[in-house]
Amino acid sequence: MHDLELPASDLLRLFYFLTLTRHLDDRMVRLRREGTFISNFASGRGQEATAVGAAYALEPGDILAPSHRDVGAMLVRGMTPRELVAQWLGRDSVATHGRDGHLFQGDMRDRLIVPTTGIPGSALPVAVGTALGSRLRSEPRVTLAYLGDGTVTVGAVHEALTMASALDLALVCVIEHNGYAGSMPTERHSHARHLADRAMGYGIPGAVVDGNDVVAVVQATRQALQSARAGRGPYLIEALTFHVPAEEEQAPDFISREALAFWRRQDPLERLTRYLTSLEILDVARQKDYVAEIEDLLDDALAYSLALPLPAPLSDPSLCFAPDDAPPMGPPLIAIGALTRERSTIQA
Amino acid sequence: MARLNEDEQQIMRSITYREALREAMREEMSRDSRVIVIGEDIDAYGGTYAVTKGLAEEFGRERVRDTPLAEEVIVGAAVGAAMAGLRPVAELMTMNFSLLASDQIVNTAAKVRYMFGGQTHVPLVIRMPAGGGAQRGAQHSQTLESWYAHVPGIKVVMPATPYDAKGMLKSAIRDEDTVLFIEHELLYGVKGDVPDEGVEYTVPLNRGEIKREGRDISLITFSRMVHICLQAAEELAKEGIEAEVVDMRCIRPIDLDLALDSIAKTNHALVVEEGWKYYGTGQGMAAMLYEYGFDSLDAPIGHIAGVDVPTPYSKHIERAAFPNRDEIITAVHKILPQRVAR
Repeated sequence: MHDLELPASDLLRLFYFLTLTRHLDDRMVRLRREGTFISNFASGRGQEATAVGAAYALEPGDILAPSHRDVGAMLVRGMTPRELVAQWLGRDSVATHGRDGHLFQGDMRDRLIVPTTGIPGSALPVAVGTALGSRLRSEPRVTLAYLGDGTVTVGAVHEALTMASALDLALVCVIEHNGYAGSMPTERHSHARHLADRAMGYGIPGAVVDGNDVVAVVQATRQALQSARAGRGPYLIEALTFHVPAEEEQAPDFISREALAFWRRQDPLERLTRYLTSLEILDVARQKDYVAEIEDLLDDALAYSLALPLPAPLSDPSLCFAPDDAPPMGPPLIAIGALTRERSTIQA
Repeated sequence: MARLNEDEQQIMRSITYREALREAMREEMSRDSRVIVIGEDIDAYGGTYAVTKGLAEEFGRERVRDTPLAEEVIVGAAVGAAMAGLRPVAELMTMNFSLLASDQIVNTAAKVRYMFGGQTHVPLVIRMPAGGGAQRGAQHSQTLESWYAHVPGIKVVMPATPYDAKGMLKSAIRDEDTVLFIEHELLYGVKGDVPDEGVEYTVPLNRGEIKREGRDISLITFSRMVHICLQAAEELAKEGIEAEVVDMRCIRPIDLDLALDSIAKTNHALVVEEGWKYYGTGQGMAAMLYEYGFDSLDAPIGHIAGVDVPTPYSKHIERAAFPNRDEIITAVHKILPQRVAR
């Protein structure tokens, strides 16, 4: 599969995050099926290598704009299972106080996750804006935005890529190509060989990567980040992956069983496990330790969340607006880095 | 007008609404390096109505940023830039094009503070001209503020005078939330008294203003119709009717107390707006006056609005589509029949 392209410590971190994401996802799906706690949870099962790998390639000062199946990216970025589970269970005492966040959470101060939108494609224009903000603040941050293959047909995505290219913004877009836009297979809405071929029309680099190979995703994303950070404008990555539910009957009828079987053999966690085992970085005992640690973490997250109060009704319109003592928006400024192009001298 | 002290009055001069807006942006860009301007044709062309003329030369093309024709990403990127620590002023060529950006306005800018529990807010100004009267046809003459004022989470303002335009734009740029700053395309050339450039003043985003005092009837209005109401009030004064012109100027949040205090004095009200009648701003204002000021009223509230058709092109019929001075006078006579005889 690979020579040792990443240090063993990175490979084990990736294994940890893939396993954590998978176990958290499976648990949430179980809770959703029981119907007791959760109204909505978008499973990213089978796509974890893309969510985890691209986010793992980011520097701490970079900005992440996740899409709805990117729990793995949020975990890599430092969101805790406690925060995420309490959020999905609609509890108080979490950042949104139950007002939203069944799909998304945001944090523009510390972990630099763009509080994004549930409207397909609409997050990319906002990500263009965070990239524009970094540029005008002379910061070396790159914004990484995920989008689904379904959203590439949305007008906002075209406008966003046009603008990002015209302004040479440090934006990396990762298309999580899982084969279906809702129930519509890609070949019914695109006659292009690859979705990444669209990059040519915007005059920006595009690449296709095996989205179930977490090491390949990390490396492709690092290359894109380096290009963007060097001032060469946006970069489009298409990661080929598939959403594979834990049990076959959970998959909708319109998905072919042959495709499911194919992609089940490409399971990103199993592939990484085989790879690490072959390198003798991981053995069965160590794997069990990881799983036990993660299961404890998730037990704790669930117990913590269930003990939290439900939110009080929040009807105060002032909650829509910033209070008089609101701190300035945006992350703390970081020093001028590797960006080479001529820049203005805006200070916060 | 807001009362200025003697010192301030000495340094007033008459400038256009357009110049007032430009001064506001220039002063705020000098004051705060986080302020940027983004929009179509705002650099070489100086903006569709020449409001941004000279700003790119003065502040550079990074801070005064021409964009491709892409309204949704202009607003979306301005939202993201605000989240990332800038204070963008986005210019849309006209309010009609704001429909192309309405998802970002309604679903992102208006919602994120509430949705995300106050983790973020969006200090953003979206400037756009609205209104008809320049023969720009049905799709370029609309006044759609009520669409946005309906949505919790955004502020909507519509200044009528150069003084208010400058003072409110400065407030909007300093505001921590998203402000839809709706100008009127026929007002850009209108002159009015404004303190000298550099003389600091602002106008709050939640206060209306009595533009003319009167005891007999309250003309509740905003934007260009303030001027038409003032003309009507001049005429009415000749027959002894003293109309009070209440410039609501902030559509949301609305300064309801100002209007309620006025009708408590006059006991009569006529709402005048340029936009369409049904489910619009004027009906909203009238409903609030009924709900909270019913006991003040001696007669039903009148309501004059734009004719209920897409705005026609030909000058003759276009003019007939918008409220005019004489219509307002006739409506006042209907509400105050006994006063006519006096």
